[in-house]
Parts: sequence; C-alpha cells; structure tokens
Amino acid sequence: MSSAADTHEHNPHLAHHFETIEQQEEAQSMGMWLFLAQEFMFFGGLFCAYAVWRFTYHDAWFEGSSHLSTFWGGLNTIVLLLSSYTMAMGVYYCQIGDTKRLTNRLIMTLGLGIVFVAVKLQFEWFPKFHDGVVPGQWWGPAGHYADMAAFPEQGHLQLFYFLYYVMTGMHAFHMLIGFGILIPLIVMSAMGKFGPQRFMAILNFGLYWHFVDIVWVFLFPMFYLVT
Amino acid sequence: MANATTTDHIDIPERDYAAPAVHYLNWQYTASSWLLTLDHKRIAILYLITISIFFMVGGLFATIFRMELLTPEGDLLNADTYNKMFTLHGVVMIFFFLIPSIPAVLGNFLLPLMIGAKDVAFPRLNLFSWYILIIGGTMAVTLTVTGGLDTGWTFYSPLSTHFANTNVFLAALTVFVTGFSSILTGLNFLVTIHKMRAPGLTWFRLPLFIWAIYATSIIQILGTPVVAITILLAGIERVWGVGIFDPYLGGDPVLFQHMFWFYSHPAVYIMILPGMGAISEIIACFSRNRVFGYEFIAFSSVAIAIIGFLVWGHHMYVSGQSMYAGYVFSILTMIVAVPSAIKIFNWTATLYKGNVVWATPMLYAIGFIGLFAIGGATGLFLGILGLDVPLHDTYFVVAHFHYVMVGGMVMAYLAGLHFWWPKMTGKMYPQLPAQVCAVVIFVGFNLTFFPQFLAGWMGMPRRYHSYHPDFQIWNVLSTAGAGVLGVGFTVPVFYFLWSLFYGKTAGSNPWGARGLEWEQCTSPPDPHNFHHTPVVDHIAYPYTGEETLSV
Amino acid sequence: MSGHHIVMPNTYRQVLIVLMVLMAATIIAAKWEPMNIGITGNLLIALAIAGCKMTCIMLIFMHVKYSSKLVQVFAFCGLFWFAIMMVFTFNDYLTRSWNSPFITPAPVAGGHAAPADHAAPASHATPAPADHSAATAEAAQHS
Repeated sequence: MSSAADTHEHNPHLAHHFETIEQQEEAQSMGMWLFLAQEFMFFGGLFCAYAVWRFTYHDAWFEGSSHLSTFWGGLNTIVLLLSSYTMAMGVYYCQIGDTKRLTNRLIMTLGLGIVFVAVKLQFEWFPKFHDGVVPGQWWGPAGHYADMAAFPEQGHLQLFYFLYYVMTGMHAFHMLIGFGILIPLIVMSAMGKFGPQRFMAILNFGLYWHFVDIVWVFLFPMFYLVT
Repeated sequence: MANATTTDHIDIPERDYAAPAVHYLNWQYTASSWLLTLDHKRIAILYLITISIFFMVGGLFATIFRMELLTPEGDLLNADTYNKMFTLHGVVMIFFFLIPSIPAVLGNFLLPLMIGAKDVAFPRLNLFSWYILIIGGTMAVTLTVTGGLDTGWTFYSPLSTHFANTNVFLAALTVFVTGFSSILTGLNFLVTIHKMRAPGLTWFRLPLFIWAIYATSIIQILGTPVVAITILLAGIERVWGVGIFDPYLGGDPVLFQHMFWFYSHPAVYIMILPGMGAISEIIACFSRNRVFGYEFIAFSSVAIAIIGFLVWGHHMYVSGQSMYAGYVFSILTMIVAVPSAIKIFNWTATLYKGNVVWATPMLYAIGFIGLFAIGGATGLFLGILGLDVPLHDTYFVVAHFHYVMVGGMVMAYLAGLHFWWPKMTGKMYPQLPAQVCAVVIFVGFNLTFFPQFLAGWMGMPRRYHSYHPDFQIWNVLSTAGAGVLGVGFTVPVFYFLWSLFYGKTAGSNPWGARGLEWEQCTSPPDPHNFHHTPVVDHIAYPYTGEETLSV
Repeated sequence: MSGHHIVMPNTYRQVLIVLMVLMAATIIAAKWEPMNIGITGNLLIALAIAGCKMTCIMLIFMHVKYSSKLVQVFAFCGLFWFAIMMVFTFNDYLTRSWNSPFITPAPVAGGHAAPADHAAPASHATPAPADHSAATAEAAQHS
C-alpha cells in the first residue's frame, strides 16, 4: 500500500483524493459506465413509448416508415459505424502512445459525425419540413409525400413522425454534445496531452461515442425498416 | 484527535472537548472558497442552506392552503389559486427538498467520512450537481412568479399537455434540469462507495447509512432519466400540439402515468431509504447496542431499491390500466412491504436490552419508527386493489403519503441533523429545547395528518378548495396541527443558529458513537478529513450494550 | 500504465466488417420479399440483428469483454432495468382487452344487461350470445 502510494506521489495526473492511479482510473471508468446506464434509461423511456405505439398502430408505422429513405438512413448507419471504428482506433493509438495518429483518428471521428448530422438535416429533415411532414398544426403532407395524405389514420401517422423527430433529434443532440467534447479533445491531443499514461478522457469519450452509435443501431431498423 | 480504535477491544473513546484550530469551516473565508469549493463538506453545507430555504417556501404554500381549508367554503383562495398552491407545494417539497435532503446534505457530508476517504470520487461533478439544483431552483422561482403551475406535481396528461393554462413547459424543464442534479449525485456516491473505501472496510463492515445511500443511488441513476424524458416529452407535446400522451391524435394518457410512475414510485424510496440509513445509525448509538441483524437491514435496502421498481402500477388502479396488471402490481406491492417491515423489527430488536438514551436524535428516531409504521401499513391498504378503488384520490392517500414523507423522512432528516450537527459544526445545541421541540413536532404532526386519515376514510376527496361541511371538524384539527407543526419546524432554526455562536464545544465524539466519522475525525473535521488514511479491522457498531452515556 | 487491456487494430477491423455485414443483413431481411415472415417475425429479426451489433460494439469497441466484472454488471444493469419497464408496461397493454372471468356487471337500467364476456372494449367484436339478439349486443357495445 505504502509503496504504491510512494511511487505515485510524483504522478501529476493523480488527484489528491485518490490513493493510486489505478483507483482513479477505475473510478473514472465506472463513473462513465454508470452515466451510460443513465443514458440507456433516458433513451429507454423513448423506446418504451415507441414500442407501445408500434404494436398499437402498426399500419401507420408501416406507412410512415415506407416514406423514410433507406438509402440515406443506411448511408448514415455506415458513416456512424465507421466513426465508431475510427474512435476505437483512436483509443488504440492513444494506448500505444502514437499521438499523431490519435489526433488524426479523432479528427476523422469528428468529420464522420458531422457528415452524419449534415445528411440527417439536408436530406432527411429539411425536405420533410418543406413538404409539410411536421406533426401538429403544420401537418399537411405534400410534394414528395403527397400520397401520405390519403392514409386514413392521419393522427397515428403524426405520432410516428413525432416519435421519429423526437428520437432521432435526441440522438442528434447527443452527437452535438459529442462534438462539443471532441473538439477540445482534438486540441489537447494535438498539444500532446494524451498518451499511455493518460488516456482515460479518450477512453471515456470513446465509450460515449459508441453508446450513441448503439442507439442509432436500434433507431435505424425501428424507423427505416418497418415491415 | 481520538485514538484510532483498531482492535476488538471496545470502550467509549475518550471525549476531548477541544475543537481543532483549523477545520473545514474556518481554513478559508472568501466567498469563492465556498461557491467554488470542491470539498464535499462545504458542498453539504451549501445544500443544507439551499434545501432549508426550499423547505420554508414549500411549507409556506402548505400553510396558505391549510388556512383555506379551515372553512368548507372556498373563501380565502379561489379554485385556481388553490390548485397552484398545492401543486407548487408538491413540486418544491418533492423535487427540491425531499429528494436532495438526506442524500445531498447528510450523504455528501458523511459518505467520505464514514468510508475513510478524502473526498467523493468526482468533486467537481459534486459541485456541478449543486449548481444544477440552483439553476433548477431559479427556474422554479421563475415559474412561481410567472403564474405558477396548476397540474398537480404529477403533470398528468391531458391536463398538462392540453388544458392547463399555466407555464407547464417551464415546469417540465425545471423537473428535467433538477433531475440531473439527483442523477449525478447518485453516480458520484455509487463510484465513491465502490472505489474509495478505506483499507479493511469491507462491504459488511460498512455503516448501514452507506448501504442505504448505495441503494438510493441505484434508484437515482436508473429511475430519474425516465421521468426526465417523460416530462420533457409532455412539455414538447404541449408546445408542439401533438403527442403520444394526448388522446387527441390517438395517444394514451395511461402511458404517461406508466412512464411517470416508473420513476416516481421508486422516487419515494429515494426519499425514505437514506432516512432509514440515518435511523439505523442513531438507534444503534443511543441504545448502545449492535444493530440487530445487520445483514438483513443492509440487504433490505437493496431489496427495496430493486422491488421498488416493480410496483409502480399501484398508483394507476383506477386509471384504465388493465386489471390483470393491477393484480400483479398489487401482489408485488405486498412483497415490497416485507423489507421495510424487516427494518422496523430489527430496529425494535436493537432497542431490546439496550441502554436507551433519550437524546434529541433518539426522540426523533423513535418517532420515526412509529410514524413510519403507520405510514407503511396504510400504504398496504392503498396497495390492495379492491380497497384502493374507494380510497383513491381521497385524503387517506394524502395522509398516508405525509406519514411516510413527513413522519418518516422529515423526522429522519431532523434526527440525522441533530445527530451529526456537532460533527458538522463542532458545537452542541441545547438539549432541553431540542427535546421539547421534537415532542412538539411529533404531536403537531399527528394532529395535522391523523384527522386526514379519518376525513379520507369518510370520502373527502383531495385537491378541492371547498368541501362538504361535515368534514370541517377534521380540517380544523388538521389546520391547528399544521400551526403546531410550523412552530416545531421553526424553533430548530433558532437554536441551531444560536449554537453556532454560543453553543458548547462538542468535542470529536459527544455521543460516544462508533464509526470513522466519530472516532477518527475532529469536530468539525479537518479540510482533508483524516490526517492518515484510516485502517478498519472490525465490524460496524461494536457497541456492547454495557456503556452508559449522559448528554 | 495501469494494465488496461490494449485491443489490437486487427480485432477492431474484424468487428467493423462484422458490423457492416450485419447492417446489410438487416436491410435485406427487411426489404427482400422472400425474407418477409410477418410483422412479428420481421421485428424479431431486426431486433436480433441490432442486438448482435450492440453486443459486438459493447464487447470489443467498448472493451467490456476485457473489463472488470463490475463494469460488466453495470453494462448489463441498464438493460435489466429497461426490461423491467417494458415487461410491466406491456403487462398492462397486452392484457387490457382480456375479459375478466371474475366480474359480472350490474344490470343496466333498461334491461340492456351485457354478459361479462361482452363488457370488453368495442373493438372486440365478440359474437352475440344465443339468448341475446344481435341488436342488444350492439347496444351494449355502444353503451
């Protein structure tokens, strides 16, 4: 015990209230996992609501889903899985101390994330807004979505799109938070702040990013592939 | 500094009456040393001040509508104002007092001391949680002055999503934001308990307060996000004019109730579990006995945390929920009463053949046991499917809830505050006024809420500003009791403040209690808690039942 | 270095390939007509594939496979609590339309007493019993 404390006496990354760096790293890792458990329940509420209405209004779900583009949704899935991969590689390069490649991979992760959000807005949300696929008082499918107006259960269709906007929106919001953390991490990485001795921030951000990816892995079949 | 008791030899540590020259309260004085502190003890004091203010605000709302209920006619408040009063009372008391009270005040202060750590695992996150509560509190104040809220604290749809004319969206955001304070506190505590325990402090040597905080933190982390998203959804629905809860487009209000109570039923265990932990400490100390059935109390806390998640539907028997779901929820509700009963029996058995000392914290603790037993047993009445149908939405429910929350939780909070006040401040409050005050609160409480059981049993519905004249006698008694209770809650503020300036120096262990915070810390504790990392080699509560204690 | 496991890039690459294959599989399962095995079947396949992807990401990308038991428990507990929420919510939704064998409704004034089996929501068009005319059952359903 005392020898461990002595060797870490000089470690500048050890906060005063921890005894050893192992204890600190385990605490940080555990804290992140608990945060993800919390995030899981946060999305869990939405998934639960989704499940209830999917079973109740299957026809509306099918109708709504058939107007979502599998191409753009699939492309975004690929983009997000790739960004998860680059993030995982970033963790690897951090652990072996290759700071240059770490910075590189973090920038690639950020770039892919931005592509995801851009595709989502430009090719999915904005055209729908333009064609009146907005639940509530502005509801009035037209243009590309005109044949949706003939569907008898307009209210249920609006529920589908309400959940679509809320759930993908909440997911995109989590990506934006990710960007907000990623940018400082890139700057710090470029300054050489990370390495084999200090990688918890990268590791924990990686966990967050993979979690956001997992959410999308479920959202994709739930919205784009209802059959 | 008391001797480090590291052997199995048991005796009351010597009392030293000297306060340390430097402690966490006086080592820095600037405002920023408080507002930007990372010290868990100072953050606990910040929480203490904050929630005391919220308790007074919530109490003020209650006082106003209790006065309205003095007469059967709605003469003091009109129906709208009355609705706002009880809603704000509920929102403020639940989200800003009950949920943060013991975990954030006593938990923050005691958790690192009890497990022999220098601080919680994430001190910055801890401070951030307090700021989130302050932001949420500011939003609540804004809500109050911009027209209030009249949906009841439960935000039931479609009233909240469609019909209410008050600022529901802001209220939803308030609950959303405040929830994260609770989540992050729970996260911090859970990691701290897992990773920061002193050498030798194994799970079954932990004080029972730590077990209770552990169970509470599980609920905070896994339950709170669900209510956050639910209430946010209700808020978005309201703004957007479409939604999954509002039946207007095919939504289901019962779904809102499911998702709301998934958190909000376990939330009552967030409120009561830490109180039970504090009571375990106090009963052991003042009966000079080891806690009877330590493992049973420890695991009953965890059992409550888990089974508590399986019973939420007992709030929804008359909501249109399937009656089969009702059966299941009713049976599970009977089961969740078992661990609570185990605790009550074990506390009582701890008292048996102990040298009971009637110090102020013990008076509150004994009051807690009685009142919580009544509150818990009436909870079973309400958990029974058939009996809940006539009792639902009557004053019986109100009385039951307040027996658990005020008779249970607030009594436990006051017990804990009186128990650890000498540790927090290094000063002892005068015993006699405090003991009298404990009795006054007990009497005032019963006078306030027992008549509500009777009125509810006779069928008086809750949440109306006027009522049938036959119920007046019960309401007059209740309002009178509320006056007594109000006095009882006010007096401690004065003698606590008085003790800060004129109180006797308490010494490190005025109660002769066992535990790291008493035996190895000064009162008030050092800024870094311990001079040396403590090593633990004995079980919790090594009282023999032989010692006597005079206070 | 605190002995944190280093996963080799090759492992990450293999996982990425598996994820891409599963991605293609889920689209094919949903859109290719011969794979259409009904509403529930399609949903189960989609969820199973998503579950596989989640497992891959969690085990390898998120290092759960190489982490302490404690982390593994925490990674699992979110799932467990979510299951609680789903099971008990659906315990309500899936049993709402069941008829109660225990309750016999009180006779309605006017003689339109519906037997217990027919007090269910109107969406359940149960056939009229022999001793009631169809019109009576219809009236009971709309009452």
